[in-house]
Amino acid sequence: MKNVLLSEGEMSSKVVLFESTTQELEKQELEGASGLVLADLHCQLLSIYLCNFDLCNAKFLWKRITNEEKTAFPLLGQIWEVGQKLWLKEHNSVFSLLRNTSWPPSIEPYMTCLEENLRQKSIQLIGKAYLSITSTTFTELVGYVDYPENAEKLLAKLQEEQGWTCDSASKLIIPKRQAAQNVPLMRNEEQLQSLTQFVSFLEN
Amino acid sequence: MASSLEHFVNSVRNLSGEGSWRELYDFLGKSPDVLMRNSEHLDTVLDTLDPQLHSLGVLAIYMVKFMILNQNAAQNQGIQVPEPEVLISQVSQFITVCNGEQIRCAPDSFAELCNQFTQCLVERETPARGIVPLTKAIRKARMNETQLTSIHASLLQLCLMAQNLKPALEFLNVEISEINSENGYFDAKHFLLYYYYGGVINMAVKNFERALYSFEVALTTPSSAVSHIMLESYKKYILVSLILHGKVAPLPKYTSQVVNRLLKPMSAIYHEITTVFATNKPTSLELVLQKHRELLQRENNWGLAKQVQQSLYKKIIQRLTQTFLTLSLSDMALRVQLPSVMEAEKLVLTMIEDGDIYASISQKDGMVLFHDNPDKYDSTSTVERVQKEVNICIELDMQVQKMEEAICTNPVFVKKASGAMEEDDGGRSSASSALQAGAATKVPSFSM
Amino acid sequence: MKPNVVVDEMFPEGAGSYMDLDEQSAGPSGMIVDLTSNEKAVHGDFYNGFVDLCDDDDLL
Repeated sequence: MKNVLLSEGEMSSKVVLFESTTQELEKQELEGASGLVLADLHCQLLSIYLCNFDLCNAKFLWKRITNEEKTAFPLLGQIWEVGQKLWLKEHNSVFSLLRNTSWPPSIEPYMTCLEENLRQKSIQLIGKAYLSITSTTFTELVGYVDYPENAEKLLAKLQEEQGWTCDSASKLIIPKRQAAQNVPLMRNEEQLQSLTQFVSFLEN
Repeated sequence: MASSLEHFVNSVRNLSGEGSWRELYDFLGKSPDVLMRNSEHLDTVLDTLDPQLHSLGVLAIYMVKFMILNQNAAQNQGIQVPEPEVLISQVSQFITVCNGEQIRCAPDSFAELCNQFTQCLVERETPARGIVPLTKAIRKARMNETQLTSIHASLLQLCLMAQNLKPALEFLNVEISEINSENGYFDAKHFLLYYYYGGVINMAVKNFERALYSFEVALTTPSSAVSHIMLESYKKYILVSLILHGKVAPLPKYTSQVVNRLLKPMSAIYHEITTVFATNKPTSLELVLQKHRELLQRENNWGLAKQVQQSLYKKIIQRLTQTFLTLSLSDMALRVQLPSVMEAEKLVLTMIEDGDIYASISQKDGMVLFHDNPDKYDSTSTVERVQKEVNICIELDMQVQKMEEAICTNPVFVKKASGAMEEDDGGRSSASSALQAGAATKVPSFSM
Repeated sequence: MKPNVVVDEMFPEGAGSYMDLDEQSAGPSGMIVDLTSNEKAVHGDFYNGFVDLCDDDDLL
């Protein structure tokens, strides 16, 4: 499996995770897989959509799975429960479902990936949206309500690496807005060429 | 095998061998009767033909099989009726292996086969089975990526029924620039359905921008009649427009009069929603939506209407950012008519995340601070964006030039255009009186 | 029947010879939604019976 920890840059440039696996599974579904193969494929595909926060496609996948299959393979319902909570933005429930469900080996890597992705997304959002945030809200948003020591560790890391500060008396955290990313500059000759192209278009 | 069938097989083989597709197409047009009369031997005939080498012949046989399938019991006396399941499998396979160059010589027949295939799957409630075959069918039938065929609408319909929308997206993300007339088979209905279904799919996956465009194209199709597809597009156009822009943008000038004259009065409740939306009062909007809930549900627009309600909360918050620099969350909950401070914070957070507003929340004192757009448009990403947009314009311009050239060199156009000029010389009054008199032709009358 | 010529600020000199073409030039199966003699409306039979795909509360 790929490294599931994504850097900020990767998160924002909309990489599709497990892209080739996704395409393969989608193809197999359309080509008429059935029974155990189909259920297994649905479990994986559903998990991958969630990893990518592609909630619309996850929902339609859930909707097209037959009731018989849902009954015979309760794992599908367990995965979709995570999807429901994501849809409702109940992040705390998402984290606790991810951690307190015993996922089979075929699904577990996806769920680990989802957990870390969601945490990274939350951290980014906190940096973007909060001038100050209580440690309670912070702990909730990063999914560490039941693991206060993890929350503290993460906070320490953010203080050290990203310049967040924390007032221990008031329990208020002051996040630091992430600076705009450095987009590599376009090469001068490239720019000149495209400008030439525009001018020649306008003149003709 | 009857001799007439032997003649059929031989002709298909010989004409295919020579590559005389035009002749073969004409021959096949006359063959359904023979094939129908020998229904019990059709599978034997199929065995003697190669679906790749003799694609047109095989196509004709499957067409007849669908014809039989659609006839009633009385008509089918003494005729062997194909098993639908088997036929579906056979046709799926045929679409996969048939020769594209050949079937493009009989575009009307191939389109009709795909249509029959689709109807059969719809009736049997197994839409998903048709998605892969129709995807392949479109790729074979169209002359290029941006050409629209009647098969597009069928594929979108099956995707919607199967609730599997992803396979449709690659056919919706291209800019359609021409239509395959399919020897006259392609109809305005296929065009409207492609854009209507395309709009529905795009709004289901929350590509509202694209959905709005799709409904607009359907809505602005030249029309002198009320099309139900246009009517439903109109209703969804209104709701999507409210979600996306907080108001309904006026339709382009070239919109047919039918839309204003007839579609508007037929969509009264949607106009009521627009009016109450403009008052910026969520509770009033909710009342109106609840009042019409049944109808909205019946017209399959209830989910969309609920999203309109959500977007009104957002619109009001966006308006607040223009008036205030800071605002307490409790004050905001009150002004936006949200049930609690927590709800207000959740919504603001979502809006910041989606880039709908520029703001920061301070939990220290329960305030929201509004900012200006931090983008100074002085970065390389702005340059890149501008460049991308200019490139789109350049491409569009080239497309228009190409189309203009094609029209100017079209003999029909040249004839009509020069004819119109001659008419100018002769004076317009006589021409218009001829039209009023209902004369279809412009033959000069010497008796006058 | 020719459409009323719309004066467009983009084309003050008129729409040019294009507009002089009859609509019939699009042919019988052309891209214009048209009414045949006794129809009041068309496409009443088109398939629109999907489930509501935009209901964000429908998560079950």
